Amino acid sequence: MAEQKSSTPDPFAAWRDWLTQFERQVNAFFNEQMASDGYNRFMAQINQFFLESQKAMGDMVARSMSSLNLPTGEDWSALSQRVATVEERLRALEMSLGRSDGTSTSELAASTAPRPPRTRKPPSSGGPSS
Amino acid sequence: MSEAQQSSAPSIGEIVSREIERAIQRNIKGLEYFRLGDPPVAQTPRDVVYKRGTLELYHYRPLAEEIYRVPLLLVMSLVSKAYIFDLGPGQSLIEFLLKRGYDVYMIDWGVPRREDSRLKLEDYCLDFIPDCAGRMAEHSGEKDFSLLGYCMGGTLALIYAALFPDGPLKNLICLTTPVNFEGMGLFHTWSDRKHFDVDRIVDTLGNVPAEMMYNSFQMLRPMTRVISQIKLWDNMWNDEFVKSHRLLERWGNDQIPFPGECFRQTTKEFMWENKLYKNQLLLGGKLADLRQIRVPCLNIMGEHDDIAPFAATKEINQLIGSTDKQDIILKGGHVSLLAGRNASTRMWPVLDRWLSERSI
Repeated sequence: MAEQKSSTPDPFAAWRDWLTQFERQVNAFFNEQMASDGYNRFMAQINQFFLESQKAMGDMVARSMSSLNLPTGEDWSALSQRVATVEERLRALEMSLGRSDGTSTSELAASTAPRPPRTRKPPSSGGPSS
Repeated sequence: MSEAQQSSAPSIGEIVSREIERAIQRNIKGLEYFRLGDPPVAQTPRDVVYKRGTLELYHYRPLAEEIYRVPLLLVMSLVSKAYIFDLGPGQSLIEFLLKRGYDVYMIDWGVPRREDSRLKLEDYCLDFIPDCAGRMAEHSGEKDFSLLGYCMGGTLALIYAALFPDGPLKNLICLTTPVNFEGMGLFHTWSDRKHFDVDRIVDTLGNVPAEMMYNSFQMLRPMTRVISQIKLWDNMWNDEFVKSHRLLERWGNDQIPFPGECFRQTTKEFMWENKLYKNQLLLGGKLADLRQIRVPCLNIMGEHDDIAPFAATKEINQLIGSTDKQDIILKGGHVSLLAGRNASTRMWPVLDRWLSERSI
């Protein structure tokens, strides 16, 4: 909300301005630290540790699933990939069928409401202003 | 200060009285705030025109009696959800454009699944966008179209425009779109090849997890999350502020994973080699040469954008071959420019003025 300029000092407005300045200064300080080579080396080590843990966990879960004769994430992914391929082929088939009988290839129903005419002109050429 | 201004300025008594009133309102509305769930988003009526995997092409139902001839296709970034274009009534670029007489379509990439980790820039720029453009042409009955890309969606739009210089694109709008990746500030520093092992990340995780993307965005402004909660409390009496805050916070927390191969490619080709900027980006054997872009182009940038900083976005119009081009720098950050409380008075009218002239 726009505050009117006042000759009376407004301590609340001053506090809000200070807060915004404080945010900027702290962000700028941390940004400077995070741009350093040391910080990036440190983050790389954290990332490496995280990725190694992820990999170890993934391998362990996959081994457990295999031993229980259950599908692993990889298996689900492969299955999903095959379904996607079937969908793709179905889409191609529908397209070719749609084109041969002259119907639209849009697969999903669109609004049946009548469409407005495409005759609008910009306000500078006499069209409506809003 | 004039006498009139002095007489209308609040006295200390009025200031105290105003703050007491706000404090009471804060307590009443604060309780209400914690009781409410997530605000509804993407309320503008739409139809799914086309669906392919997680991708959906939406057509928004026109809200004007007469619309511009040229349809507009919106392309979202790969790192966030597309409903930032349609946050909520009164805070929706799509709703605004529909009321101004545009025929609006949008590509929503959806949330990448595990198997989508194989998707590359080639899939997006040589297949998905042209495919959706074709579907849109069929649906609208118009051959040419305008393309608006936001953030990395703008980069995809630029690449598409460079790869298909002979049409059917009519107008290009880049909204906070990075092109010079050496200007990406901390993102460029963090992805330095000396430390950042992108192959290991993608090979281990497949898609880059949403939490990792979220944390990297948060780290750009580490103090902002805390301060924004204080500002929310301070403005709890202001319904408009709270509504906008809740919508933006919901979107900000609703991150999605980044398709792995595409992440590998953007890191190596953009962050390390800056190939798009140097006109060296090869996709599917085709060179994405920005000088080939000859359509009218509007480049809108945010003055306080820390995700796609000015240094990364400012040169688009210098790199392309168009003669009809315009740069606009507006007050605002990466998200507030598009969907903040002031977007409706700052960015949206600018876009409308530029695009209306070129949509007939």
